[in-house]
Amino acid sequence: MENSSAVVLTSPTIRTINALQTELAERLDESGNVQIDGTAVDRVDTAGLQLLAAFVRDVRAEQRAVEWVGCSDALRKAATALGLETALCLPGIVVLGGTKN
Amino acid sequence: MDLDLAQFHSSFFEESFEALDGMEAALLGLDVGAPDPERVNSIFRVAHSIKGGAGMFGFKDVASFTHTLETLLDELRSGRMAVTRDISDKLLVSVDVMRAMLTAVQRKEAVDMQKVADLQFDLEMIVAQGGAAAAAPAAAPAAAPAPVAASAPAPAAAAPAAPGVGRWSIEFRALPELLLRGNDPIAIYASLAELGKLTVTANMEAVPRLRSIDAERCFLKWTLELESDCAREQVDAAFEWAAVDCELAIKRVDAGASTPEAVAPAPSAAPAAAAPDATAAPAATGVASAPTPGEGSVAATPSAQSVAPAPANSGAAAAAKPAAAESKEAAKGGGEHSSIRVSIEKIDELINTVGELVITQAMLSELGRKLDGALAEQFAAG
Repeated sequence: MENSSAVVLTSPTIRTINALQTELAERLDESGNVQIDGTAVDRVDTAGLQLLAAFVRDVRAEQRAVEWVGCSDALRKAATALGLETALCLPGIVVLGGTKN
Repeated sequence: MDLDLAQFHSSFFEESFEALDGMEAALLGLDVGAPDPERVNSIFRVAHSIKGGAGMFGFKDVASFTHTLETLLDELRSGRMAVTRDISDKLLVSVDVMRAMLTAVQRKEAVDMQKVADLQFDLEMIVAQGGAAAAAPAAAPAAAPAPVAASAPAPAAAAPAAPGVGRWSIEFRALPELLLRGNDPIAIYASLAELGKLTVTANMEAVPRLRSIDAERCFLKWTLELESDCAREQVDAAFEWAAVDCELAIKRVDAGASTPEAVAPAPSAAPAAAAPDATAAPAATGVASAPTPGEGSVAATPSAQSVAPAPANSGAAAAAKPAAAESKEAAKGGGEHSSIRVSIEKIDELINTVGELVITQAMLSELGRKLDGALAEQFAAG
């Protein structure tokens, strides 16, 4: 299954959440695996991570894989704080019964 | 100008006794386990009013006792503590004690301060132990020789765990509005992580599908395990700003044994949004720990375990609140509307102050009516 172009995250917060939701919904409509680039994320909040987690869950529910191209410290710390690393399939996380990224 | 507040004492006593009758009736009709919130609120308001009046008139013992009672009632009405039979019994005894105190003050007689102090101690212990202490005094022999002896078992029976084994179990479900009000669980958990080792498990069952989710609202639910010997108040403080926008249950679990009496009502069922995907993992776990950040979560590899704690001033945590706050303004049209967050204590102070102003205004008006001539005009003009 081919990858589509990466979703590049910069500041997934409640301020930008509607635009991000639109973009992620479009990616959901595409076929193939999904790549997410979180290298440049410098600011993130619960709204942003909740949306990303919903996206990852919906993608995987279609038997498509999610691959992180990169993950910034800010993104990982926030995901850890909320207990969402596994749900987000962050790099270095083993998802039981799923893909090791 | 000297004001003779004594002329208002009779009104205060009359209203207080009436209010206590109402409080007693409300307590007798209280459904333990599933109390009517408005009934609990009405009971709280009685204690609050009597405390305010007693404080203003200088009845310090009454004010002190009702302050303790009010603190307990505030825990109950906020849902931080559950109404148990023992607590209900203690509240009914408190009504009797307040009646006795007010009667003694009214008649300028001595009051049995030992009895008052014992009950006040019991109430304080219930609050300190999050409700767990309530059972202890009740279990003491009814014919205990002295009040002091009767209350003595309470702290011992509900004593906190030895250092190193303190453990808090927290169920936190954000109400949808939480994020829109500028609160962010990241910052809340960062505060908790400063108290000890924090393990966070997120539950996504109620999170709608991406296409249908209202992304500005929170649908996540969390189970938190905090290893810390901190006081209950410190745990409560972390959730202070989110108190009205979440369902919260905090209980202390020591050495694997839970204390059900300390448990606030468990969060009700998740929002109506159905789990969109039965195959999706419903929960994930993370660890944020101040002293030992490297200890593991179930599904994390060693690299993922070595996650630094998220202190309050870390990038993500620090960014969370301002970002949410800014968005709130943006969502409401370029910041035309704004709001501030004020602690419940400050609101209480404000209400007390306004109440005292109203009473003082009434007293001045009463005095003004007794004046005449130029003095009356001067008085009316302020």
